[in-house]
Amino acid sequence: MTLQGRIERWLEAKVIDRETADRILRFEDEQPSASWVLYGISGLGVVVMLTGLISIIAANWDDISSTTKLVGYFFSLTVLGWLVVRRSGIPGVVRECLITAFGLYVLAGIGLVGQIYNLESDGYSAIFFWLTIILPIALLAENRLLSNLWFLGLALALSIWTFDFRGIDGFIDRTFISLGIPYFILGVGYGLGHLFPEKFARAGRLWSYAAILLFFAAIGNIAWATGNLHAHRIDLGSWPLVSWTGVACALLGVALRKIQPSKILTYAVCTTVASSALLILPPLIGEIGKHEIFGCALFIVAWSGAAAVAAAIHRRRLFDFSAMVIGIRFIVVYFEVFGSLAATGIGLILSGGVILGIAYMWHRYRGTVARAIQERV
Amino acid sequence: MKRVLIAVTLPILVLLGWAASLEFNQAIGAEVRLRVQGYDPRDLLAGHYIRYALKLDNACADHRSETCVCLEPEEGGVYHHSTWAGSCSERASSCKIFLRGSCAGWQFTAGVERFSIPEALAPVLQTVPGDSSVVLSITPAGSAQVVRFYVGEETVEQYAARKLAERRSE
Repeated sequence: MTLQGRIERWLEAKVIDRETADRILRFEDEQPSASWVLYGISGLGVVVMLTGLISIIAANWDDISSTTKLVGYFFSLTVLGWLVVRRSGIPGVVRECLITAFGLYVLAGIGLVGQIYNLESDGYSAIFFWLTIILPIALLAENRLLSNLWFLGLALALSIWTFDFRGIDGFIDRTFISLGIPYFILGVGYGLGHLFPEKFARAGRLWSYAAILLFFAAIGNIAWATGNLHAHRIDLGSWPLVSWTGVACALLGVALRKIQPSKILTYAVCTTVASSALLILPPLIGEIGKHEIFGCALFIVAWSGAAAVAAAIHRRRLFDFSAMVIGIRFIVVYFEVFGSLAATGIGLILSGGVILGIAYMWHRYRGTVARAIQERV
Repeated sequence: MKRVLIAVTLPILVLLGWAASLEFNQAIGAEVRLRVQGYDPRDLLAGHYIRYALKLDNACADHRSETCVCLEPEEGGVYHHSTWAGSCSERASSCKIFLRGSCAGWQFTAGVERFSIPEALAPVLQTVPGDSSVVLSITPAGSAQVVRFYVGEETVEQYAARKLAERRSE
């Protein structure tokens, strides 16, 4: 709901008077802001232009010598950098477009140098290189685009690295390291979030939480699909400790946070992290085969996280969709586990009763719980 | 302002340093010519390129992950061939030019197995032509960069341009 809409509702409920409403509106009008539509469109324009530039570079202009290409690139990069510095003190769309363009132009340069010197590419090294050298400029951006692109690049590079494995042992090692990193970023995003620019820390929390939910949704589906295979144990070594360290970092970061982005979201994150941590206990994931319940639990944890986020940001349709997916999955797993219709029916009735009980308790005691949380926070 | 200046200068200097180091390695490296065979995918970040494998006999006979290959000119002096392959720590001091790489199974790779080609010439370079070779610049430390790609005695650009012209005239 827009601010105007909220103010009208408050006026109707006599929460505020007309004079207060006018003061609020005057105050908000005086705040410097740019339309998010303008930022979005400008960001799209920058990304499209830079993508076109990268494509032109990729076409390998053979008519221009390599020396000319390099000199032209570094000259134009320096000019763009100079414009960024000149405009850095004036907040607004132009500043953000220049910063985003600079960050993406650096990526184009990495591709150009790789092409000119015929460098072998494993896919993730170039991305990690780019992420490292543009991190300072990404921290200075006040738009969401570059922050989100940075974390998207990190997710992409980690995914490519994880699957660039040799043998099943290499895959397990890399998977646990890649799984630990989103937890670690979540911990830093909460515990040290006050030390980073707000947009960058928020993007980090968002991407890492999404990565955890996606990972467990995928693993849950895989476990469900392989549920009837003959069980065999995989030697996981000590690699789960990497993930567990990340989980501990995440819980510690949330507990010691000096920021409070959203109470509901924060508690949803805690619940997801804690329950996902229990589900990655080595004895459970070490045995592949008896996975209907395990797969269902992971799947429900992931979609519950999505439902919690939807509730926190007041997206009712997304919440309803997530609840529907959970409901369907719930019913399916009962049929798989119990087999017969009678046993499934009894199980579902009992579970439905528990769910209704939880809903009643939530309705009855939600205010009390919210006040208790408020006092504690 | 100072923070922005540092944030902007860092990537520029790092990229400049990186390009300069690659140019320096190429300048000081010994040039050798090796025969190749291969295939051709596409990379959005680097355009069209030819992928190939170096033809080095017995480079991975021991299946070591880290391998060095000694190179000496063949009779006739145009191409180089492998005279020894093994662990880099066991390389003889008489081996003046050597290529540092790794073995994945029987395949030796040294990070030089691709060469960028112009998009316009890609249609006639769907596969690596026979009698292909590459010129590598190899530093004293054994790391290499690809300098030129030959098909017979023509550079790949000359070969592809000739093939394109023949195709258009048909």
